[in-house]
Amino acid sequence: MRIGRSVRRSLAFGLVAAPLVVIGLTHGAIAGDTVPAPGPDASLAEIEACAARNLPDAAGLVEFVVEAADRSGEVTTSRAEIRWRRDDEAHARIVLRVSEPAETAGTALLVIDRESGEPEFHLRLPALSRVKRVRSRRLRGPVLGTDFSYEDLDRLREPMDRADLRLLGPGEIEGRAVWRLETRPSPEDGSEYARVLTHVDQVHCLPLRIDLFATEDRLRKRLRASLDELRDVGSARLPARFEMEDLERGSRTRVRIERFETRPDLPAEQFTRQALLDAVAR
Amino acid sequence: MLPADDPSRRFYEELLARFGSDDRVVVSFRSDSLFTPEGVATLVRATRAVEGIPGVRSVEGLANAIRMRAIDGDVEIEGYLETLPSTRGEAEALRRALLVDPLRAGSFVSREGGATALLVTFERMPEQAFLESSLDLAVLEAARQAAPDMHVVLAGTPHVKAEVGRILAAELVRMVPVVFVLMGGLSCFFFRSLRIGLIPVAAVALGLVWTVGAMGWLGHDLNIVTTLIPPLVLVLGFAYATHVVASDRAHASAEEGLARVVFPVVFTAATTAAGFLSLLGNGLEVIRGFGLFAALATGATLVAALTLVPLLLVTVRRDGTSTPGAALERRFAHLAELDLRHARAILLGTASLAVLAGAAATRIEVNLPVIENFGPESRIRQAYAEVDRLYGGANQFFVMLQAEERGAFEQPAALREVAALQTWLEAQPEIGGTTSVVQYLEVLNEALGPEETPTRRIPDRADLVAQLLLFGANEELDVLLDRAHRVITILVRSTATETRQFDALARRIDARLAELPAGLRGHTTGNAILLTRAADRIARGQALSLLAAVGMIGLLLVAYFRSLRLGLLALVPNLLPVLFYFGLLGATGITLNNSTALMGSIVLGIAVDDTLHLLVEYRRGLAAHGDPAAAIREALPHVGRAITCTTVAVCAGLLVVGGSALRNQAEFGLLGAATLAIAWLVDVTVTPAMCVTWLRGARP
Repeated sequence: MRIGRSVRRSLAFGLVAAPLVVIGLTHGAIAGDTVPAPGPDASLAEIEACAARNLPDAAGLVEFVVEAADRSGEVTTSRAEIRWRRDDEAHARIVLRVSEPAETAGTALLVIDRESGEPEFHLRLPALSRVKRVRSRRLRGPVLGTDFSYEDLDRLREPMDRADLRLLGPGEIEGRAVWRLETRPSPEDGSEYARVLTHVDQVHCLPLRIDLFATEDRLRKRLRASLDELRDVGSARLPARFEMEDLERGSRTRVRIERFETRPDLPAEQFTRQALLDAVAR
Repeated sequence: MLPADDPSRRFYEELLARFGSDDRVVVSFRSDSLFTPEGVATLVRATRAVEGIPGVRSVEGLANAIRMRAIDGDVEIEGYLETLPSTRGEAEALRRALLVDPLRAGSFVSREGGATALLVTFERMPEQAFLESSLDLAVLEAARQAAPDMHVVLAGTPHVKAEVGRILAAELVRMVPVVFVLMGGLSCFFFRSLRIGLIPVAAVALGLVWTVGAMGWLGHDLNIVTTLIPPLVLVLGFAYATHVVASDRAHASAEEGLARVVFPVVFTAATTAAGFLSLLGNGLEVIRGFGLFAALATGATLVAALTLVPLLLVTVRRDGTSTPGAALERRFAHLAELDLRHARAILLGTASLAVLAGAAATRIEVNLPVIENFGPESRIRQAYAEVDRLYGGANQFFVMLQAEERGAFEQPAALREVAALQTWLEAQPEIGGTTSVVQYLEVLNEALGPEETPTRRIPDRADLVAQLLLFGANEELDVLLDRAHRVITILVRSTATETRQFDALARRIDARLAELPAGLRGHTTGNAILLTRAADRIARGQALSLLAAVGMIGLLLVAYFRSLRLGLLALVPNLLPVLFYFGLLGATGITLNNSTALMGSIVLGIAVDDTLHLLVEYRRGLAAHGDPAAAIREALPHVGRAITCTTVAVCAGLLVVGGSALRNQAEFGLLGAATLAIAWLVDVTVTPAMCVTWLRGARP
């Protein structure tokens, strides 16, 4: 799924931010201490393999809290749950359900990956008692009133899956050894960024920091993951806290993972439009 | 420019803190072929070109605009230009769709559909940095290059400020040499000597270098007020130096000439500097800065007049030069006789004129012309007229509404208040359109709403509003709604351009905001509102400082005459030119602003200078002869050359400024010249008449 291209200022979906972030970071999770990470002089292929070995399980759920602070420091807090499942063709289905605050509780979004690369979206707004399909070829702009754009989420989902990914070499961030990886979106991509610099932790193979540049040297956003506290689920591991800072808007969004479970038994029926309609009926 | 505790500044700071920079310009593209496949492609190209300019924070426009609508039970969210139109029919359909979108019609797209605009927001940066980078011109140039076949114009407060800065800088470079040459030439004529005539000019140049150097050394940039210090130095410095030169020419020895003039020159400078220093108590930092550097400038020109000038004069004396003829002195002797014969008539006539001037002065309005500052045919004036016509107003400001509770603007009742306020705002003649979160919600509600036949209206449930905003939160809403939904802004597009128009409009809006229900507070704010408040306070501050200076001069005159009565009487000829000046302002309809208010101080400085020299010579004559008439017969010819030379030269310099492309600069020059001529007339007629009528006992 490729989402988030070209247009910087747009109305957008507010609901898919968190699941994609979580899944994105989980995507890079590594199998704890059981699988040794490649050394500091690892090649790009070795780093990609390190991340690829640690895909999350086919189904699971995550509960998390989002704190979005605007430029004046005013913080809004929301709580949500994501359930995901991969079908037989390895296409993802994701359901996000907001549980707090009360006025938005029950808002839900179903995202169904399609072979075409254009995912299908179904939205449930409890105040309307109905489910609507959202037609859009591209998702853009900030999501969930947060500082993540759909392009950011797309990058997070597949941080190592870029044709133009380039290994710049080892480095150090906040005392931790990292590999520095760079992508430079071509003008045809319509990206809001000219350069993306990803710092991958050499111990956990997790993205520790991602710098998103609006121009060659103008930093627009910075994503930081805290590796001091990790959530382990089976062989997967992900940071419990991460933060996106938008230097242009002067705002920041903190995400805190409160629960992370792999649940291979999650039934496929939960990931359908009918399931959202049934929730309306209830 | 406003102090930190000023309410207007506080609201503006809060606006910036919550919603970011409001330094925006409008780039308008007009073309008959705008809504054709080629025209739309050109527009996208222009948008990307402007977005790529360093210093541009964001660009809103058709190329980035999103359309939300209900289709067959689904909701479609797509960029208007997700797919560029490939036929004329598609382009025309795009135009029609835009004209019925309340978020786009009248803001991005002109109401008749023949033009579209980019709203360009700049990074927040110091005005000087903006000026040096010419970001506004870079935007205009990029847009024109990308759309060579379209009519492209630029409007907006940042552009106006930058344009004023560029014109002032260019005129400074062009006019200063002309003024120096002119004043030097006239000085040479009055003193019948090239070398002597250039001495006052040299003193002015030295005073200017010292003053501007001190400002630079102390890291003080020239601003809208301190930019008036160079002409102040020019006027005062020339007057002080000319008196020293004239006294030297009138006496046999250099020592005698200098000794004779030191007291009045120092006394004048001290009173003028004291007047400026009284500004240090002003609440505005720019006015305090002006007071400090104006006092410094007065001191610098005094030192130059009392050091450099005598030194140069000694050189001239050593080389031997001719002295000016006595023709002018003879004319002043005749004038003195005239004054003595018609003293009462002169005083009576002056009193009548003073009453008329006082009456006219009551009609003065405080106003800083912003767009009207440029000539009617200027590019910027025409651009504003076009943007006003197409989009309902080139100037933007905000009405900021604050509630006490988080989520307050999720309540339909609060949103209906906002809608009612917008309706009221749009009924004001100076307002062409408004935008708020209400329009976004109406569009979202229509696209997702519960009705089988969608209608555009405010949702009737708070939870639905919250859910729509969760779904529809975007960067366009960044300037309209905070994340806690407790503070919103209404973006107002206005055709008002002068600060008095903004002031009147803001007062009406404030009165309407006072009617908001309990729990809601509202304020007008934005760059244009701040400029209005600052201009108003600067002008009033300078006018008040004039009163302070008058008080200071009165005290010093009382001390000088050692008599309250004589001191106050001596104050009258100093005040008359100032009164006539304000009478001229009222009679001509020229408004009080930072430039015209400063001219009051300059007029007072010059009036004091000329009057003091005459009074000092008069008292000296009175002590020598004991007869007021004889004292005047001696004093007027003695100082006549200096005050005439000063007046003619300074008037000539100000007339050059009168040729400025900026209206308030031109008014500053022309009014200044007229008033200094009046001040001269007062000094050579009214002051002698007063001396022989009311100051007969002013013997030292």
